[in-house]
Amino acid sequence: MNSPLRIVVVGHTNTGKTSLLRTLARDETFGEVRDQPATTRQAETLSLVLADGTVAVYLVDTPGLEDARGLLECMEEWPDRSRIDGPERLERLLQDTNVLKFFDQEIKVLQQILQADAAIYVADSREPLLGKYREELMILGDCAIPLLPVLNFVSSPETRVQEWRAQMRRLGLHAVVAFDTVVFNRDDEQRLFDKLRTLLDSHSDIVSALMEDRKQQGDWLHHAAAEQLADLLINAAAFVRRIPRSLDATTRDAQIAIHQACVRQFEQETVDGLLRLFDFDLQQAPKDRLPLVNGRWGMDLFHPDAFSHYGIRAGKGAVAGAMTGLAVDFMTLGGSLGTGTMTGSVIGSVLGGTLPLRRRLWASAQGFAEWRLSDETLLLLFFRQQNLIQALLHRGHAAQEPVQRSGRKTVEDTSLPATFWKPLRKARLREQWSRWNVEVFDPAGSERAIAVKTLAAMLRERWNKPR
Amino acid sequence: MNRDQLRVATLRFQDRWIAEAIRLEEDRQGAAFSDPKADETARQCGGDFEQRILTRALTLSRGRQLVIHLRKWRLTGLWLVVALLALAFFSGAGAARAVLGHGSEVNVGLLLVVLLGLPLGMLLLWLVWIGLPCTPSRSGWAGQFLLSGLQWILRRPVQDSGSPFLIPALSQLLDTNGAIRWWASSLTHALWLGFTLGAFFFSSWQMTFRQYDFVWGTTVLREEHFIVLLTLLGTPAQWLGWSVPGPEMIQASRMGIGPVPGREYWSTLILSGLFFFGILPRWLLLMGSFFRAGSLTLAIRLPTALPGYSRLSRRLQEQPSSKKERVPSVSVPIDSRSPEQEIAPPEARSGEVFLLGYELDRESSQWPPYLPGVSWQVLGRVDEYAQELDLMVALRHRELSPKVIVVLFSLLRTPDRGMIRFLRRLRSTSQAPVWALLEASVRGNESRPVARSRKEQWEKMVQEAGVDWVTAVDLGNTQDRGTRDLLDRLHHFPAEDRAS
Repeated sequence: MNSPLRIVVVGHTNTGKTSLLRTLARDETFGEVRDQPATTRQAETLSLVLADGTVAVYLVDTPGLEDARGLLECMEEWPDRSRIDGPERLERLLQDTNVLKFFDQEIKVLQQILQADAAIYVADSREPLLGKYREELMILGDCAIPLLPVLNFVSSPETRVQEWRAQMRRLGLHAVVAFDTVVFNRDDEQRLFDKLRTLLDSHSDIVSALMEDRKQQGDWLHHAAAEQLADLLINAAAFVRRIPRSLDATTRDAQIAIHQACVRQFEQETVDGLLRLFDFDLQQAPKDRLPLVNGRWGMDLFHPDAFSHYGIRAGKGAVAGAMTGLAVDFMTLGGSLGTGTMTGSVIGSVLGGTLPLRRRLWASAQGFAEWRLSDETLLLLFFRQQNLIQALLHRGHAAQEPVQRSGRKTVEDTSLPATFWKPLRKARLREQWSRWNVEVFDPAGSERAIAVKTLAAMLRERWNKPR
Repeated sequence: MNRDQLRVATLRFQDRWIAEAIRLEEDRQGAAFSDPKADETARQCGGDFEQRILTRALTLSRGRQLVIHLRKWRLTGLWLVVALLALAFFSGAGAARAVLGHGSEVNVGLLLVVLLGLPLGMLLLWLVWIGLPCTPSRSGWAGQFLLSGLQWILRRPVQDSGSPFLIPALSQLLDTNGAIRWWASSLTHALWLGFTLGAFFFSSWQMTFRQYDFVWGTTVLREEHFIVLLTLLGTPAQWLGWSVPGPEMIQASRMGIGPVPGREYWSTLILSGLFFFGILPRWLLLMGSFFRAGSLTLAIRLPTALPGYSRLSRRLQEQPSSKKERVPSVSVPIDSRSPEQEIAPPEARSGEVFLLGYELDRESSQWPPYLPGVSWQVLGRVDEYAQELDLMVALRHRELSPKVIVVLFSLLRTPDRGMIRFLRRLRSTSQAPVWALLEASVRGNESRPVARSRKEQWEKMVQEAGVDWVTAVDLGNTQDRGTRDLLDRLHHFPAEDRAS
């Protein structure tokens, strides 16, 4: 394969060059991003690495162009300006003492461009195509390297992407990519690389390798996130704690509180796992990037508001999770957790279960009641984590504003199809399926693996469906 | 695939098996083993994510002697299969012995049903099973059945060995692409092949040294059916030129008709039937299933999306952004001082209020803005270099003497040095004071909200450029503070210059 490509990212100040790099490299800590001019002052390089560790592309972040008109003016002052053009003109510009004196930022950019294989010109598509942008493109045209304009902020309602495209065509730039660094979209990224591949014909194999790598990586992330959520749901469904029936209400509530704290901790572990999976560094990334507060869900899992936030109707007992399982013994458990459980799972567990049934009969005889999470809590766990995953999947690493908390209005979202409940109902009566039941957890049972796999497959299908 | 490649691929599968066993062990423990050395080795050896997981697992497995256990298990499994095959072979021989007896009359129908019909019926069942769609639960059921049986048998030794996850790991791994179905099929075919071979060899042996009269009889079935069936059974032998009983001979062999003809014909029919309808199809299917199982097994990749693996991705892979480099650049201090700094102090002058628009978001219908009581002398809009040049020329040569130049900026733009240069040039070209008006939005235009910090950046940079007064305005709203300030200032100029 060819040696790594060197691509310079240029553009007017505050159009999102660093954001583009962050998003392409999946690194929200690179550089500095602020809504103000000249945030980036130095050229800085970032490498896009393939899964096997080889560097495919060096991306060079540059300070913004702010005064291309000034550069043009300097050139106007040359006595013999009509005789030279292209890179020679640029070389000469870089030696012009006037330029050196007043256009430090622009020089840094041009120096980088002269060493690069291609340049990406980032434009804020919410802006009208002003003269200054055309002037920048004029100067970049002198660099004699492939130039790919990238229109940023295309998901914004004020985008003028059509206007930009039309104007770009007039300037002879036909390969233009719309790419939103804030609302990340994998297809857009593939399109960007595809256009680059067309422009860089002699390096097409390396860009192809990068595209393939990105595609696989994206699929893998999607898959891994689904597996994590499926695993969480199975763990939660199979989770059980035993509480002596003889306890008085205060002691019992205290015990339940301890178990609730456990569940909160387990949910947090999943959140941490997802953040790790998506490479979100909480220490370094701005704190308002996700629907989380300091990496945690703002609302308590066992607070009624958390349920109503997602439109889940839950009674007092369902919120606490405790009251459902407390007063019932194992035979009536199915009925208390939802109709349909009774028929399938309880009979299944009575007939087929070996270890759990023995344990449960024994515990019941010893005067213990079972405490489980309610179906509503399972739903809440599901929606919260799905919300987070969607936020992580569809956001650029450059996003600065908090995610709009969605899911409140959509009614169909507050219920899950029956197919989702099937593996969960099965898990209800198999306590060895839950990692959270540390003593009996059995990762080796293939039934659990199948249930998680089925659930994960359904989740992926659900997410892949266009909304 | 040549021999060496096959060996390498088999070893790779073994590595995956070990990695899966380690994953299950980690799952049971609740967290990934933390062994920085293994992680480091994986990172250094490189490769894709799966390769890194394998390297890590192999490094971890050394301390656990997993490879030794694995070899032990493979050997045990192999012996188990050999034992089962032997059992099947002797069952076949036993079945043949039971139906053949010790000489004299043998019921052909009964013999064929036991030695050929039973395996063929089982083959039919297998066909139905393999034809079912391969959902995870079904193949899992088969695998679970097979391996839970195995696990049950090996319960004690497994617990003693200290590596209880090897067999579940194999089961889950083979289940990822349905290889386990074909291994189960291979085993089925091998067992029934053993059975049929046992029956075949025992029958040949008996028929070599004993004398049988082959007869048949039926109460319910019709004679023609029997004849058709037996003729069909003899067809392959006939193709090879061997003699098998014809319809007359079959009719003559019916029970109770008299002396039974053609013993050698009958034995040819039975043995060739066993071979062509019992041994041959099973052998072919065994080969097919075995190769399918083998190729599927070698094609298995670790399910790296499982939480047990995906949590390692950060530890085992280099971060894409870890390689940052500073690019040396010319270090020229950023221009903070204008070459034309000395500007006459602002004072009221005779003339008009001149209005300029700089990179505005207004449509042409919204330009110039209307402000009650103020008539602008509109200087134009500056969006392009040519317009800027025209403006400067006009200011220089037409002897315009504005009272004040009001420049309207849009807060939607990011302030830049190009704007500063423009303002400085304006200041140096005209003696009139320059006021900068910053407008956030224009009535009727949908626009994005402007951050407070943006206004502050503008004010800072505009003042740096040396304007005399700057304010944020909403020109469409006369109640706006900035607009009122502007009107106020315009009205406080000398009365004769008031523009109204």
